[in-house]
Amino acid sequence: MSEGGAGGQAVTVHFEDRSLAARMRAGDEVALAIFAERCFGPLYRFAASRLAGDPELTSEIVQTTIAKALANLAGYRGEAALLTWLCACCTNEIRMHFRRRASAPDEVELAEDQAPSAGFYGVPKEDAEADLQRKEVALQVHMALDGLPEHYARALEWKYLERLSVAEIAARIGLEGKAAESLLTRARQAFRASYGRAGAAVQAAEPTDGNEGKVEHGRTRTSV
Amino acid sequence: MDEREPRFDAAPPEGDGDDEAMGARIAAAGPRSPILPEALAALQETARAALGLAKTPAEASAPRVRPIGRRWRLAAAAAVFLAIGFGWFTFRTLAPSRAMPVAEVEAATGPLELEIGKGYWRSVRVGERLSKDARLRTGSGSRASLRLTQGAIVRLDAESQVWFLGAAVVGLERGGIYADTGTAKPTGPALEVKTPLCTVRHLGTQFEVRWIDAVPSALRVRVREGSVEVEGEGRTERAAAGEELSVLRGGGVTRARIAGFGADWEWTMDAAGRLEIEGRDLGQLLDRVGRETGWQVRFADPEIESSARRIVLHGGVGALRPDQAAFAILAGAGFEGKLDQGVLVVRLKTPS
Repeated sequence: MSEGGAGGQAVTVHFEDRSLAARMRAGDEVALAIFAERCFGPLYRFAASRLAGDPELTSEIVQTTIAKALANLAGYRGEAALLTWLCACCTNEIRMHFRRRASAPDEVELAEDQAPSAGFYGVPKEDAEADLQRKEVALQVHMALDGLPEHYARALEWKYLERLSVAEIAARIGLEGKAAESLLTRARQAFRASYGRAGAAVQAAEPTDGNEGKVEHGRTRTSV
Repeated sequence: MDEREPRFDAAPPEGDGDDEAMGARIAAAGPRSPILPEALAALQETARAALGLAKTPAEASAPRVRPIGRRWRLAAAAAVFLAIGFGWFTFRTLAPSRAMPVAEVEAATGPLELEIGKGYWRSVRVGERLSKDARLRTGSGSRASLRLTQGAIVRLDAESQVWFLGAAVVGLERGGIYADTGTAKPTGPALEVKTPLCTVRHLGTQFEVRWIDAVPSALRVRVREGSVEVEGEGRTERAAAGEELSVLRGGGVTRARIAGFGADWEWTMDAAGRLEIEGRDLGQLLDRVGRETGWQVRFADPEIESSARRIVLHGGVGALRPDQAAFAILAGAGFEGKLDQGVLVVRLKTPS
């Protein structure tokens, strides 16, 4: 996965994603379908988590992100995974959106009886941090599930959320027990990889003061 | 950064015996809130535009709205409602009411709603199970696919409304539905589609039942495979594959020949949800494509068929419909397909 970088330092290169990007640029429909399956759901969920779930704004930001990122796909060199790159682009879009809004007249109205957020009431810092961490892990799990083929995600949710037995899962999807077990095994493997991608994307897209991890459209700058 | 896949503290550890930890994390995260299919469809369109790709047939046909359609549909719907209201009231009153799970939502391409009280509806998500007596409706741009517990697949076209009267009985109140009862020998009761005009009973088949917008109180039954029995107004008619019956209020029935493939059936593929290819062999995939499209799939020779059936597919085809995915997958596997008059002939790719 690595190749020599400037100054002899190792640079991580995501060859599979780089090849996928090249195929998309060449107009390969299957590559676009794979890209869509892996990235659209996780990216949308990532943006929604940063935009308080506002569906209209989320759609607008994610569409802008995709449009700009794909228009500059030639600049993608595989130094970060595609999802990481997109989430970083999306973070920039969100930042730009709020910057534009900050310079516009404030139109927020507060009702007098509106309760302040829970954090206002002196919740212990540890609890707030733990809560934040739980939410981030939940986001990563959901992004990872979104990035799987739907039947994998559903099989895992049936198994671990609905607590269905393998036999019940097999009955739901019309497979025999062994085939369902094999599907679950593949789903778990795919989940591990997807969870890793989601985690890397969320981590890399955290807002930072410096330039580390900052991604500009079409050009990725990563720490090496 | 080292050469490995990026890792972070909360990543589930790899290896045997970690399944419980992974399961606990999935359980702790709770259920996912749904992402609206329209949002993902809009992303597809944006991506295609950014890459300079042509629109898919589904996208291209999306804005094609007949300008007078809506007014006619509303007028026809009102006329149908008034004309058959009494009959429908009787029909509903006689229906049983005990609750039991009868179907599961397999896919939805837009808003799908369940009636939770008179005039009150809530959205339904993929994977949700529906009980007997559930009433379900699709919006103007949405379609859905459901699997009945007795095994049949039922798909709802846009602006349709159905009522699950039992494990194998579906009432069609508005719009159109498509049913595929599969190729396996039925183990339970035969699927019935009930309307105030008639009852359509499958005899092992794929068929569509639809209220005709432009003609008040008229129903259309189109049979793609197998045959159906249509019973109403004191008479029983049979329709076989490639036949269309128009059933009119008062007992009139007209019969016509139709093709089992083509534009009239495309909505059933849009409603089907994603085509799952993981672990299937190419032959199985082509069987499924044939079933979804109505195409006859033929191999140029038996050797090609046997080599196709030895190829196991992995991954996904995203939002591609079966008719689109077939050509992409064939090309990727070293084959090519030629479609002519509903017959897809598969042969080895000729070197360019």
